[in-house]
Amino acid sequence: MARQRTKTSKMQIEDAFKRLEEIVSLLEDGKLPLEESIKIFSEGMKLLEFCQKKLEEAQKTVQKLIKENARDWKLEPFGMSENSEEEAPF
Amino acid sequence: MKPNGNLLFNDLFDSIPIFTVSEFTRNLKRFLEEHFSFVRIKGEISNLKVASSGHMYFVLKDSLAQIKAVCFRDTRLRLRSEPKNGMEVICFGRINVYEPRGEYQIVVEEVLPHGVGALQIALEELKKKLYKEGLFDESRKKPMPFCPQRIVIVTSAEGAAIRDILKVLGKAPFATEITLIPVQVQGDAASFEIEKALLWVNDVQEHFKWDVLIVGRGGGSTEDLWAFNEERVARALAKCVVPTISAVGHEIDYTISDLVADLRAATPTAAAEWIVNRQKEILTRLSEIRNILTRSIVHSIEYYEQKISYLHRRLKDPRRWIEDSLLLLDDRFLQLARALVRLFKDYSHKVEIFRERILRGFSPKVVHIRQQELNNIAFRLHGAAERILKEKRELLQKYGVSLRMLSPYSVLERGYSIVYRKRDGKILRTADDVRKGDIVEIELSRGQLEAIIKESKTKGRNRGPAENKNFKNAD
Repeated sequence: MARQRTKTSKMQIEDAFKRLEEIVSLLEDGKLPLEESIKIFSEGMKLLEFCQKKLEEAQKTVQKLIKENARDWKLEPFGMSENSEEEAPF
Repeated sequence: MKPNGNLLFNDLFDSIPIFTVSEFTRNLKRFLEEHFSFVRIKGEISNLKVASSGHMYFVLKDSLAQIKAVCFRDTRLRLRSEPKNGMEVICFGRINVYEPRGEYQIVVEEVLPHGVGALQIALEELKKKLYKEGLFDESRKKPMPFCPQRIVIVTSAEGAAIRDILKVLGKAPFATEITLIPVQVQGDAASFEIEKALLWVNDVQEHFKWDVLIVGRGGGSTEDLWAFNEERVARALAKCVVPTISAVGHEIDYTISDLVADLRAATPTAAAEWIVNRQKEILTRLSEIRNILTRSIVHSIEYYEQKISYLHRRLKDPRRWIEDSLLLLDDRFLQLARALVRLFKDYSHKVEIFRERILRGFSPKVVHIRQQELNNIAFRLHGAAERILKEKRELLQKYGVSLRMLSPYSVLERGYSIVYRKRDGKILRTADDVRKGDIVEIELSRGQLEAIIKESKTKGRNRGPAENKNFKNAD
């Protein structure tokens, strides 16, 4: 189990978490040889970094999605102050 | 005045166009259908009947007037509640003029119960129906996302709901991408707009990849929240490909949206808080994991260090080992020497005892006693020998007499004789043993004879041989 290294390229944050929990319980067991421990420790650190990056990937945005016609849509920035006069154009 | 008036009237009369019945009805139809394309008419249902075609006909009336109503089969089957005679309802539909009969009627699209309690009854009926279809089943519900960050919100752009949600989400530890799809959340159009928005989400999800959808509004009266009790909203929620959170601000009952959505929040604020808490949990767990990772690797290294130092302590200078061994050897040697001395003492003691016993065995007194014993035995032996000799002698005499009595020669004395064949000395037993002319020797009790056989009579009694046998045994 400890041998299986994880590829972080196409990974979801959820999978990364699962692997992290696995690594944590392996390390907490304390049954691994030192070399192996260090190996999965650094894997865990990489996964942590990956999670952090994934979580920061989303941009802090608030926008309004408006349907223009049957197929197309339009995005408009949305702020509480400016929109008070606006009508819902649905 | 009159002619004038007549003239005027005639002119006026002539100026009025003449319609055929069909023309007029067609005009009327166009007028009514254009002006009342959609109407809502409140009244009581009466004369309700369902034709064999499946279409439903009834009359909608109040205290002063009435209007015919038709509800086509497909619409009737979709109705939220079943119309019954005497029911106060609001019919939603369009006005239609049926030209062949010159009648107008309302083509019903929806029948909504009206009046105290009617809404609640309809709501309970809808709940039962959707429950039976399994729309409320937990097994049908989608799992919530692991880390909700891309959020789509279906609510009014002006309401309190979006304000509350944005306020709470502002505190989220991770960045959030929020998309609002503005809809009306109250009034007749609300349920249609919400339904459309939900279906539209399915269409554009491919592009936006939302993690979670919040649909809802702030608190209000039961009527205000009614859109969230509508069947079309419930069905659209069930079909939504994004995990849904229903967030309708109300206190007592659950709306149907609450029951169908994958997660129910009591208010829009609660929905946003759920997302923020989820993110916080992840953040906490991440830092926990970071701590555990660091701690356990440090622990692991310390463990190995301890192990090494322990092993190092056990790994002693070999000279000391030799010294230890020498001491041990010395000690053992002393033990051995002591044991040998003890053993030697034991043996010399034993030897002493034996010597005493031997010396005691060879004392003059003992020799004398032994001599006497020996003399005694010799005397007894002598006597015994004499006695035995005498017995044997007597026995010998007795045997001599018996022997003589058993000798074949003593038989001869009784008149029997032994006949031998001269040529080989064989004792004759049967007449066959000799032939005519053979020479035989006859042994008598005293002296011997020699005779020639004159005749041999083979056929004789078998007595002879039996007696002869006796002779042989005596030999």
